[in-house]
Amino acid sequence: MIIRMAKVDIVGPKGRLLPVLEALREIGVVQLEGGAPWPATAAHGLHPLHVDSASLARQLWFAHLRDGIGELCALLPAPPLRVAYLDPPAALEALAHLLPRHLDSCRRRRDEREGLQRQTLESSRQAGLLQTLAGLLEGRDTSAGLVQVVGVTLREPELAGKLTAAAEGLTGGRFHLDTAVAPDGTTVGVIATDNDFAEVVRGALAAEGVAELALPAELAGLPLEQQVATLSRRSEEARQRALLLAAEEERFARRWLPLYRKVADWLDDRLAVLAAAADVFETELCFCVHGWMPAARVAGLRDELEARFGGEVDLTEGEVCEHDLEQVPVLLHNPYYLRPFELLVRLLPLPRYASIDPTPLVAFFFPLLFGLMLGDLGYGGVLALVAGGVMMQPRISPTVRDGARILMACAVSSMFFGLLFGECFGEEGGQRLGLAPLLFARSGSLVPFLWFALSVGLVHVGLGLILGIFVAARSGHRREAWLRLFNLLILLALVLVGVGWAAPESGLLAVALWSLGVTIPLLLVSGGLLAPLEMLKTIGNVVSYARLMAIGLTSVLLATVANRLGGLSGSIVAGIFVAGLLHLFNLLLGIFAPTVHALRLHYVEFFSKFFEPGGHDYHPLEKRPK
Amino acid sequence: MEKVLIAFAAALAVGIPALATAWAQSRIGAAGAGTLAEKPELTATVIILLAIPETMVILGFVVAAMILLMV
Repeated sequence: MIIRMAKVDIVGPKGRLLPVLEALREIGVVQLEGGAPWPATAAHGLHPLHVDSASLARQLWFAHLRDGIGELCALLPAPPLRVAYLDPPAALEALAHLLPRHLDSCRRRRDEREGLQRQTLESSRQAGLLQTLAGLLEGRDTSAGLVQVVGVTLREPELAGKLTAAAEGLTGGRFHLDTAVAPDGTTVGVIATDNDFAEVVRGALAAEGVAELALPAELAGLPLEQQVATLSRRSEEARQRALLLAAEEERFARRWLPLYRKVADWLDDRLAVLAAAADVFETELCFCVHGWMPAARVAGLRDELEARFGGEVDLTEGEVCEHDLEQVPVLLHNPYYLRPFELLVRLLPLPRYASIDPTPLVAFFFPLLFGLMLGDLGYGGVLALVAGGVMMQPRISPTVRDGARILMACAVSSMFFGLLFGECFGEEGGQRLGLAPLLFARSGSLVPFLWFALSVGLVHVGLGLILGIFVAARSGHRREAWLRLFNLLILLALVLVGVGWAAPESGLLAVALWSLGVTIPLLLVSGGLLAPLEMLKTIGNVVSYARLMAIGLTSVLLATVANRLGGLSGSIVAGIFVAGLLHLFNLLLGIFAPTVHALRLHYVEFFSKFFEPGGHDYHPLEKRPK
Repeated sequence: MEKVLIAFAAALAVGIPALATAWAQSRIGAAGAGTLAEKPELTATVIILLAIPETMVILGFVVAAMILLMV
């Protein structure tokens, strides 16, 4: 249901504005309404709160300080921290003075640590490449100076073939290429060639973008083993220094972060209150807050304000007029067992205030339509197990939990209809379990199933029309209400025509034709020339429920195919495997198709008769959990 | 021959709407995916739009089943 909202004015002396806003934020029930003063109070000379330059400067200083603290928190690790007990307003000036220095030292420490981490990685990588290179050069004698060795790193091992072909062309075959994979996965290659060709090969490699093994300049001239040892030592030194800096960061965080977080929380609260002040109005001596809140909580809030401010602050409840309805925020409140279905209603825009919350109707009809389409005891049981498993998980989001509850309701409905249709993993399963169809067997009763589906549609659309008449009459749209009433009457008359046609001895045909003769002109009078079109749309809406039969029939036929194919395999194991696979496929389809089509029947066929979207969500001024 | 014609009629009854539905859903699906990338709050509208053309093939299936089982 949509909670009844009250329109409230809270008035008090200007000096009490910030404590009142803090109290309202703490209690968290009033949604402030900014814009222009309400007509009833505008006559008293109310105007939007004027913020003086000193207050504005203070607000900007708070925001700047909060940004700085946010940056500092992002620079530091988050170890388990003690709770700080200092009084934030008393520490503000001191921390604001310290913050730039702390930010500077933390930035430098972070930059140095990141540089050292990069150096550690690079040095250990280069050491690994050199070790691989040393392995390739083992046994070669390059001391005579007739041969030069070019080390390269290859992005992909396949490049070795292209490199061979290129070197073949450049040196006329006077080269040797060896490759090996370094510990980090890089492919290292060594090209040994005559001194005459070395520069040509280097130039060609550079032109092709093949990286020559690059080492720090200060290592040039050292033997390979010494280069490897130097790089490994450097890597270890950088790692140790980075660990030292990380420990320093953690010490700093343990000492200062609790204080900064405490101040940041206080600043968040203060900034939220100051931001809310933008929706406040004032006179020379007083402030006035307009807002909306649940009507049931007005008395409680009035008592709370009385207790906190000793009669200095007054709360008055105004009358909600017709022109206010567009502004009233909408708060849905349903019993525990219906609340999960708000998830399906909230996929559309919220209903307008003073219209109908369709959640209870969706909670009844959605599982009903789903069960009618899936309608299988076995499939329903599997879905119930899945939904139960998800619901028993200790840490799942509220949305997933609501989804699991909806699935559980649909599973129970599927099991119920499975009993009515005598199906358990298809009709064959039901026969083996001795389940006789209590209603009818779906695969062999096409026409009864079709009539049953259309009857469900008639009830669903008819209920939508009745609600539509109620909503239109309550909103003062009498013409619309009459149009919906005549649509409903014509629909019922058409049903009577069908019944009278099928059973001529009942005499209903004449009554139905007379009813049509009276209601069709009335429909044209109330709805104009477009009214027949609306009537055809309503009939189309009912016919659309034939999908309940179609999807239900495909479900049972696929289950039959799964059972028969499993039986044809000739082996118990293979049969179970084949049938299980097909049943799993059918079950997946059986979740997806009924969900989409049950939603569609609600959103298009049912809601179009009465649902009025356009409500605004209720957002009270409150402390939000961090 | 009569059975062949009945089967052919049933195949046409479900096949032609299936092609039409597939074509419509391919267009709506592509546009809907683009819409959801920018405005995820329109999920319900996209589901509705995507499910609307399925009415054709579902009613085609109903007609085909009636042709096969009732004629």
